[in-house]
Amino acid sequence: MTIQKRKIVKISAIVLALALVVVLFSILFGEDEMPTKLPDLNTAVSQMTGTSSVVDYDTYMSAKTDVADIKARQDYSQNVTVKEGESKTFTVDVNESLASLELTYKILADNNTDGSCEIKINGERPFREAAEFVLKRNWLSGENKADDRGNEYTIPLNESNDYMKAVFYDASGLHLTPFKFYLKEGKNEIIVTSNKGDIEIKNIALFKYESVPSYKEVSKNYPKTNNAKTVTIEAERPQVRTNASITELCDRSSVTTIPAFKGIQKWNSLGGTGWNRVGQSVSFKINVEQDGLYNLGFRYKNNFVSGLSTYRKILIDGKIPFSEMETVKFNYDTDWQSVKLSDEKGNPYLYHLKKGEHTITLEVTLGQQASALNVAQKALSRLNEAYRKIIMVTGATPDKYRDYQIEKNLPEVLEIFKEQTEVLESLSDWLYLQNGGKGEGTAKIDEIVRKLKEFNKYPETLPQYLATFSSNLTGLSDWIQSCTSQPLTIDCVQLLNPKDETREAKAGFFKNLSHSAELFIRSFADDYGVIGSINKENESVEVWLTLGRDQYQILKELIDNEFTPESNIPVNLKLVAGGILQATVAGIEPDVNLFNPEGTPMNFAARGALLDLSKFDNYNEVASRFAPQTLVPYTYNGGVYGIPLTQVYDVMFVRDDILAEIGLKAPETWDDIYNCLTILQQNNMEFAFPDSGTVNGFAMLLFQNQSNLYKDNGKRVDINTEAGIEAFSKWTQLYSEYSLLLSYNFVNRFRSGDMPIGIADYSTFNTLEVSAPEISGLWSMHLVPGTMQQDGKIRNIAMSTTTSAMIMKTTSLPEQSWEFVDWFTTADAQYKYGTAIENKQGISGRYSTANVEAFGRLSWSSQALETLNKQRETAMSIEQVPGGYFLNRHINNIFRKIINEDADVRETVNEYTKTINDELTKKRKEFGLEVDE
Amino acid sequence: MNKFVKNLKKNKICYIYLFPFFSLFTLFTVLPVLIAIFLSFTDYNLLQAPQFVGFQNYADFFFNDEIFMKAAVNTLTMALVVGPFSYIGALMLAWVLNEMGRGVRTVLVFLIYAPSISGNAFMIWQLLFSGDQLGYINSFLLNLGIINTPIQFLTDTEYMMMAVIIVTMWTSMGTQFLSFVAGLQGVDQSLYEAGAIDGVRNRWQELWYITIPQMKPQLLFGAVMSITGAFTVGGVGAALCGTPSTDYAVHTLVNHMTDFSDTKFEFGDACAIATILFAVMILCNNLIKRLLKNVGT
Repeated sequence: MTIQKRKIVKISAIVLALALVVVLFSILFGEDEMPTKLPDLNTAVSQMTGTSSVVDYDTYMSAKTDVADIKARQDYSQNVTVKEGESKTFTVDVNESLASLELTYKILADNNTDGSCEIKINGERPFREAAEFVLKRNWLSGENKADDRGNEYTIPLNESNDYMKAVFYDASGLHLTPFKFYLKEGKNEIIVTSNKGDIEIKNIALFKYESVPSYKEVSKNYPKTNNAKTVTIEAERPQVRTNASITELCDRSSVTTIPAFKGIQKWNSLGGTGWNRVGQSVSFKINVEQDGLYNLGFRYKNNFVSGLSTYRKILIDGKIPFSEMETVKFNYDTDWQSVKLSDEKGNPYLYHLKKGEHTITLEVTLGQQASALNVAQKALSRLNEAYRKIIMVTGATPDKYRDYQIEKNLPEVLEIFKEQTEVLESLSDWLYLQNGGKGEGTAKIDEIVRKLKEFNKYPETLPQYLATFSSNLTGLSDWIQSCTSQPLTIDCVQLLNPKDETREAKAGFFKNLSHSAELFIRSFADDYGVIGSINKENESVEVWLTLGRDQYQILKELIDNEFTPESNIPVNLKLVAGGILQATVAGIEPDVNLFNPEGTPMNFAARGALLDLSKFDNYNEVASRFAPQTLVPYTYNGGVYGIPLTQVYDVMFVRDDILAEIGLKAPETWDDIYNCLTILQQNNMEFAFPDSGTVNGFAMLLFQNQSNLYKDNGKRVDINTEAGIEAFSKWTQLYSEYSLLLSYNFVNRFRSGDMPIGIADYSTFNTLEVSAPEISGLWSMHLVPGTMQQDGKIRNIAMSTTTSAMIMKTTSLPEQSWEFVDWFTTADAQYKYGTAIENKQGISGRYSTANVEAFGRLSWSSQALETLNKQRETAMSIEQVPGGYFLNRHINNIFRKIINEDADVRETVNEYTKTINDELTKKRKEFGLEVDE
Repeated sequence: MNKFVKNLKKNKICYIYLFPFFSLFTLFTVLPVLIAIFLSFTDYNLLQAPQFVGFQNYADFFFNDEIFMKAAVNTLTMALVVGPFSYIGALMLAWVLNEMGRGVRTVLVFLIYAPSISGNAFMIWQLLFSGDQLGYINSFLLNLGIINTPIQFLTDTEYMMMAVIIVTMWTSMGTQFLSFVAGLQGVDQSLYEAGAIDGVRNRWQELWYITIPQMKPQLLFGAVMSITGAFTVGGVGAALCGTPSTDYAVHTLVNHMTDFSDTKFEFGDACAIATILFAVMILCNNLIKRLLKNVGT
């Protein structure tokens, strides 16, 4: 009996457990039905066309479905040069049709960045994407250079003299076929405006883009016999490349990368993160010895973003051989891989090549995911639009206990949500099927879909989850951004006889082991870290640099290639992690120290540690390279102790789209700002004033009030005057009366639209350009708001901050050190240094040179440049005086006391003025300077 | 003299073994302390030679420098709150943990010790205390409707001290705690048995008469660590509230010292503060030793 009972208990327990597992499974995975049919993304695109106020290409084309393509190709040869910022008109005569455009051109510019142009047809920009077409340039590989130990270093590239041909494609890569432009019957005007670089145009052509035949069709005509002979080309010697950012690399990780790393830097691969933007291409010249049918093979590495494949378009002799080559996928793996390009079943493709020279080109493309990203991008901007509409009602941090009556107040938002739910669902299915599984993208999209569904069902939960929703959108935007980056490193390109194998991807265990052992033993003898010749201590100028490795290598190369050969002064450049003060105490300081913060030179000079640079003969010529104000912080007691290298200053960033929506203009004066603030706050938006932790915000208001921080040459502060007290009141009122935020992240809030106006330093431009592509073109830079003067002029002074070069007093080579500083601050050297860094690090690394001429030559768009130049003219620097550190900290204390404790402005300022003055006097006494008693 | 040489010869081996540590200790601890004491009597700006000024630097601090007094008060406040609280807290925690099973104990010991080995991990408090309306504590309070504008925990003088004390306590528990755990493990179990026979009635008596006297060395170590720790706080405040903090609200002696050395380049004054701190700490250590003598008797 008992045994039976036990059995029953046992069985029922098992049954119960099984049931539980089944229930759990159905809860966890039951809702998600796996998609089986690939959704058509075109319907998603057409669903969203025409919804935005800006006409994009898809909207443009949806209205032109019944127009025929152009019949015959038409060429318009004309030798003209379009200067940067100017336009040229080409008149063409056609039947009403759609045509693609091809430009034959050369970029005339002494820098090595891409050119770009805008196309207008009959006086109008046809669609949003036509605002910017990138015009690539061809760069030939130069001579290999090596230092005296055999280390190769980066080769300066020479531009090819040939004309380039460019078909107008989508610069963002979201459309894979060339754009079509609508031309009316009869005469049409095509206007080409140069955004960047002078463009010499030779020919402009209208043509119909023919789709490439498939492999099946092409291979029908292949010969039967085959005596192909395998050729291998090392990738580190490409014939041409379109961007200098595609660099030769030295792979140390694998012994099969040829030539293998043996302790000395020899280039053995090409590409990397610098070869990641749509349109960047590399061409290899291959000499084929035998007519025949070849396989195409690569040894490559794509270990950049976990799980993300990257795509390339492959052209042979400038043509795509068959349609499968429009997008070739390079899979992700942590190690090197070898591949023969083959179809889905794994049969390698054959390429019919005649004997002789051929070029093989690999161009970055977004591949199959282009259409998906196009949909995602569109959905994102729709949802961002919805988000902005919501915060106009609820504010960025809504009160979750309040009923905002979303259904009644924002029916259009719910409409957008409903529409986007469908769009994103089909996008998620599409990605699932294409990538064969869920991934980062589908996870992010599914999360948004879940939210949207919930919002539609229970609109009252929207305020509560608004912040999460906003960060979900940022997440989607980041994902799109990461997908458009397509880095790839290649070791070799191979044309193979089908019987031959590709170069082995990985070496065997023992080969690897012996290689690693060899490197380990070598590491005791060779210093891998130091590239370049090591100069003798005494005769060379020792220069210290406190930035990163990239900057070090670029500057080192610039010195070795330009400065030392010309001046015959050897330079010993050292990368250090600060510590100039300690080094000076220990007596091992360099001759020149670069990129010092603004306060350092005065502090060192007052203690007699620096050379007075104004004593050198050509000082005036050197000083004339900068805005005069930038030298103010380096002037002390009649001498000048630093030469500016970088300069940043505040400008005002404005979201044009949002301001237009709420009916505002970009403010010009503080009165405008006060008016704006009321309207912004009605719409639950904010204004960003420079962080209260710095003195810049206050100084800006003070200087605009025609007053100064110090008087009598820095003997006393000048803040307890009427103007000073007014500036303090104005500053603190912004927080106490207009309740500005004290802490915030400007870039995030500007991007989400919570802070459509903000004052920030101009390098924010670079951050926004790179990290917020979803709002590109929707914002602009303006001068900071100014104070109206009695004569009706607006004083819009902003504060500038610089870094500088200084020469130590103990140098044994003062003349040579000065010559180095002189050379490094010339427009030429600053410009070359700046572009090299931008090439290496992208826009986010754009160098903020203080040299006015070099600044103009960096790749700023002409519109941005105009604002920046204007703002620089009025920008002022804060004087550095002995004891000046007290000003900064006590201005902060005054500010906090007024806003935290509601203290009286005048009383507080007077109290702290005394404290600051006491410290100034104390320090002046210490340095033996004259004081008022 | 002769005796000394004899003694030296006799213990030759010991001195040879002592030599490596002692030379390093002299070079990197004794010598710097002596140099600092010397420099505290000079006016020294690092870049030019020091000049002897006698007791000027000390006199300045005590009679002329309000901020020094403020820093001293702040330091003392922190030492008095953080020191004993974290000391007793760590002891209690160690005692409780000692009663738990091995696995649980190991995990918990690691969790509690982790903050003090993880360097600048306290920077996460910056997120918690952030004055942004999206900072963790602020957004929590805003959501509950307790406040309606974000509190500037790290720049408003009203809240700064509290924030810094909380974070300092969080970071300072670890080392003492670890030594207490080790001490508890080292107590001979047979003593408890003997105690039970001799009439110990409850756990408190066990703790007071057996456990604590048995772990005196660890207690002393913990106390010394806690005192020196409490007097040298400054890093946390500087990292969270900036240097100098608003109106010197969490300015400690160490902050005052770095202000002199790094911002004002007045190294003589900085050394004077270091010397004062050194003297205070030695005094405190002696005091603690005396206090602990009476424990468990």
